[in-house]
Amino acid sequence: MFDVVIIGSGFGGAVAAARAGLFAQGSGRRVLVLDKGIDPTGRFDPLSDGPPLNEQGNRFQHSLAPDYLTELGELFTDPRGAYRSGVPSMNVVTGKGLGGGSLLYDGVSLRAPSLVFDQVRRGRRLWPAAFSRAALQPWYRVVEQQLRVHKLEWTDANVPHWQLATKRDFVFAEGCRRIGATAAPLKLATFQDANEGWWNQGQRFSGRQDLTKNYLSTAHAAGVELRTGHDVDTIAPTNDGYVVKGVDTRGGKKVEFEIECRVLIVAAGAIASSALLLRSRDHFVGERTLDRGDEDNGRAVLGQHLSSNGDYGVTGRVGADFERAVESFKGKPMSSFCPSFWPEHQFILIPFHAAPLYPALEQITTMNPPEHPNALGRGSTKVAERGDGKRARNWGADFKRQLTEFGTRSLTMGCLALDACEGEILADADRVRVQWRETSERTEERWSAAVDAMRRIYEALGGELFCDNYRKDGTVNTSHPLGGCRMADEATEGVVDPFGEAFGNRNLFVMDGAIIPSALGVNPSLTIAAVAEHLMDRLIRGDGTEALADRLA
Amino acid sequence: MKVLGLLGLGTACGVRAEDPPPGKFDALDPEDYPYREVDELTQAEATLLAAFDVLLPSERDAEGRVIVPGANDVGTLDMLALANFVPAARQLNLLPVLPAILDRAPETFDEAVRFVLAADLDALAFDQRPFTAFRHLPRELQEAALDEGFADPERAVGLTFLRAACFLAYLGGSDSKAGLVAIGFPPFEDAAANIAVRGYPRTTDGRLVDAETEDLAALAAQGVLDDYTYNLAPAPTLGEDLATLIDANGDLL
Ligand SMILES: Cc1cc2nc3c(=O)[nH]c(=O)nc-3n(C[C@H](O)[C@H](O)[C@H](O)COP(=O)(O)OP(=O)(O)OC[C@H]3O[C@@H](n4cnc5c(N)ncnc54)[C@H](O)[C@@H]3O)c2cc1C
Repeated sequence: MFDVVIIGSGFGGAVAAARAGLFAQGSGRRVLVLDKGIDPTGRFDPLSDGPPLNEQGNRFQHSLAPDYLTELGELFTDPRGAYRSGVPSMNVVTGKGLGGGSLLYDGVSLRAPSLVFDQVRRGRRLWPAAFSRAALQPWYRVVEQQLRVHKLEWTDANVPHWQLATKRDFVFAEGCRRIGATAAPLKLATFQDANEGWWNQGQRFSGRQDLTKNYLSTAHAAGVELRTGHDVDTIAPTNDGYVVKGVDTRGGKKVEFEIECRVLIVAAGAIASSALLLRSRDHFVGERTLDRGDEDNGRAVLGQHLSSNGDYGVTGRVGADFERAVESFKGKPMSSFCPSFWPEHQFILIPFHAAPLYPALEQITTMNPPEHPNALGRGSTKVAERGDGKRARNWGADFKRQLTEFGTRSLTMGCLALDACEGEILADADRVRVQWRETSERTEERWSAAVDAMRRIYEALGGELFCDNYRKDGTVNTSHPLGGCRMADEATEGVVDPFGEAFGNRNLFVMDGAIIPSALGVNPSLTIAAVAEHLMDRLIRGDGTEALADRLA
Repeated sequence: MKVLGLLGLGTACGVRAEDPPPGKFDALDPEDYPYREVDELTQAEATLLAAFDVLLPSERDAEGRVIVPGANDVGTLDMLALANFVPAARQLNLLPVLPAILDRAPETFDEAVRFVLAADLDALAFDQRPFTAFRHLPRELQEAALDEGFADPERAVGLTFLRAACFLAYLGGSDSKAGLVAIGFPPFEDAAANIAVRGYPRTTDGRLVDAETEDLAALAAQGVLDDYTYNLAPAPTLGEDLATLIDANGDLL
C-alpha cells in the first residue's frame, strides 16, 4: 500500500512527485511514480529498458529512427481521417518516459497571457474563479527557477553566448520587420547549452533543462520510487483509496500489476489521463461518477473540450538572399516569436525546426513527386530547364543541387492561438483516438489571419509557403493538447474541482495538461507546471481543502 | 504481393533472368516465406545501393575517395528498415491493418520490401538490356532505366519511395550529418571530444572561435568574424513598441 501514487511524470506529474516526495521525506510515507516509458538517465529506475546509456550518461541518440523515436514519443490520431486527403483529422504528438514531454520539447517557457484566464463561453468563465495570471505569478516564478528558464537575447551584449537566439531567428525577425511586425527572443528552459540541435530527439550533450534534471531529481533524492515501463490500464476505487492496474513491460516481459494507494494523482498528459478515466469510468458509479456533465442537455465533459492550443504549422522556403542563413538544422529548435498579432487576433508566430518530426506530424510529403503541390521541397526540386537545354532530372546530380538549395533555405513556422477546444478524446479497451469535430468560426478566423501573416513573411523574404496540411485536408496537428478532464467550479462543467480533485472522488486528483480548461495561446508546459505547483501547495498546506497529512492519517 | 500492395510499394514486375524466377514474386505471402534463406536478398541490397548511387551520387576523386557524399554515405539503405518503420507506421495509422507477420518477423519483411523494390529496378533494367540486373548495367543505361521509370506513373511509385529515402537520409541527419555538412553547414558535433559543435562564432574562413578566450571585437574590426550574433542584430520595426505587448520578463502581458 502506497500513500501517494502518481501516474505519469511530465510537467504535472514531476511537480507532484517532487512536492509529495518532500512532504513525505523522513516520515515513512511512501510515494510512487509510475510511467509507461523509459528512464533516459538510467539513474532513477535501474530496471528501465531503452537504448543503451551513451558516453554522456543518458540514453539519447542523434537518431531519427522511428523505433527510437517511439521510445520517447507517442502519436494519437483519428484513424478515420489520418493520412487520407480530404478527410478532416487530428494528430497529437506527446512525450513518453520519465520526464514526459520535457524529453523532446523545445524548452519554450512562456507564462499564459492575462486574457487567457478571463475567456468566457456561454456566459461562464472557462477557468475557475481562483485562477488568473496574477494568482499564478508566484508559481510561474518557482517553476522558472526550477527549470532555469532564461530569456534569450538577440546580441551578445550582456549574456553568455549560449543564451542567444539562433541564426534562423534573425531571418524570421527580418521577415517580420518587412511585413510591419516585430520578433522578440523567447524564454527557454536552458542552461549552458552548446547550441546542440536534436532537442526533439533528446539531447545528448545537455543544456535543455528537462524534468530529470530538476523536479524528478528532487523527488528521487526525497525517496520517491520511480518505476518505468508501467503502463496503467485502469484505476478503481477501494474502501480506503484506489487500486491501479496495468502491465509492467520491463525486461521485454508483460507482467500484470495491481498497486493500492490512499491518494492517487493522475498525470499521464491530456490525452492519456482522459483516456485512462474513460477506460475506468465503469468502476466509478453513482455518486462517484467521473462525468457529471449536464446529461439533460446530452453534454458530457470527460474526454471533451480538447484544445489543440491553436497549433498550426506550415513549411516554406526563403529566397536566395537568405541561403544558409536559415540554418534550420542547428541549435535550439525555437528561440524567437512574434507577438505583434496577439492584441487583434490572439495568436503568436514561432519559427521552428521540426523537419525530423515531419514524417510523424504531417503526411510524408517527401513521398510526393516533386511536381506535387504538397511535395516537401517542391520549390527547390521543380523540374527546371538545364543550361544545356535538357530537362533537369529530379534525381542524380540535379537532385543533389536541388537538395542543397532546399536544405539551406527551408524554414518551418507555426502559430499558437486560442481555439474553442473543438477536439475530443475517445477510448476503448485497446485504442485511444482523438478527433476534431469542426473548426469554429472564431478559430478559423484566427488561423486564416495567422497563415496569411506567415505567407507574407515567406514572400517578403523572397520565398514561398508550400506545405499547409490544414488548408489541404483539414488536418489539425498539435503537440500541445490541453483539456479532456477540465477543471471547473461546477461539477456539471468539469471533471475536477479547482483543487484538481475529481468531483465526488475524495483523494483522486488529475494534475496535468488534461485539467487546463482552455487554450493558452502560448506553449503550455510552464502553465501546466505552475498550476500543479499551486495545487500541490494548497493540498499540502490544506489551504481551502483537506490537508494531505489529514488525508493520509 | 498483397501485403506489399498495402504499402503501395509493389509495382508490375517483369521477367528477370539471373534474379529469382517470376513465380517467386507472386508467392510472397506469410505462409510461404522462405526469403531469409534466399541468396538473392543480398543481391537486392546491392541493387538498391546501385540505385541510390544513381539517384544521389557520391562524388569521388581519382583515388576513389568520396569528396562529396551521396546517398550511400549517409545511411540511406537504413531508411528502408521496416524494423524501424513498423512501429511508426502502426502509430501513424499509415496502414489500416498491419499484417501479423510484421510483428513476428519485421526483419524478414524488411528484406522482402528490399527484394520487391530491387525487383522493380531489375524490371526497368530488363527494358534496357534483357537478362541483366540493374546493378550490372553500365551507368548510362542505369540512368536511362530511371528516366523510363520516373516517366511511368506506376513504376515511379517505388522510385519515388527510394528518392524520399535519399531526401530524408541526406537532409534529415538521421544516420549521419555528412549530407548537411555537404550542403554547407558547419559540423554538428565532436563526439570524440564529447561536445556539441555550435559552429558559431567562427571566422570567415570557417575556424571556430572560442568566445570565452578570444577577442570578438578585434576579430570583427579586422572584418574576419562570421558571427551573426555579434554583428547582425535585427533592425527594429518602426512604429511598434514591444513594451506594450510583452513585459520585462519576456512574457505576453
Ligand atoms: C515535440 C514537442 C515539443 C514541445 N515543445 C514545447 C515547448 O517548447 N514548450 C512548451 O511549453 N511545451 C512544449 N511541448 C508540449 C509539452 O511537452 C506538453 O504540454 C507537456 O509535456 C504536457 O505535460 P503533462 O504533464 O500534461 O504530460 P506529459 O508531459 O505528456 O507527461 C505524461 C507522462 O505520462 C506517461 N503516461 C502516459 N500514459 C500512461 C499510462 N497509461 N501509464 C503510465 N504512464 C503513462 C507518459 O509516458 C508521460 O511521461 C512540446 C511537445 C512536444 C511533443
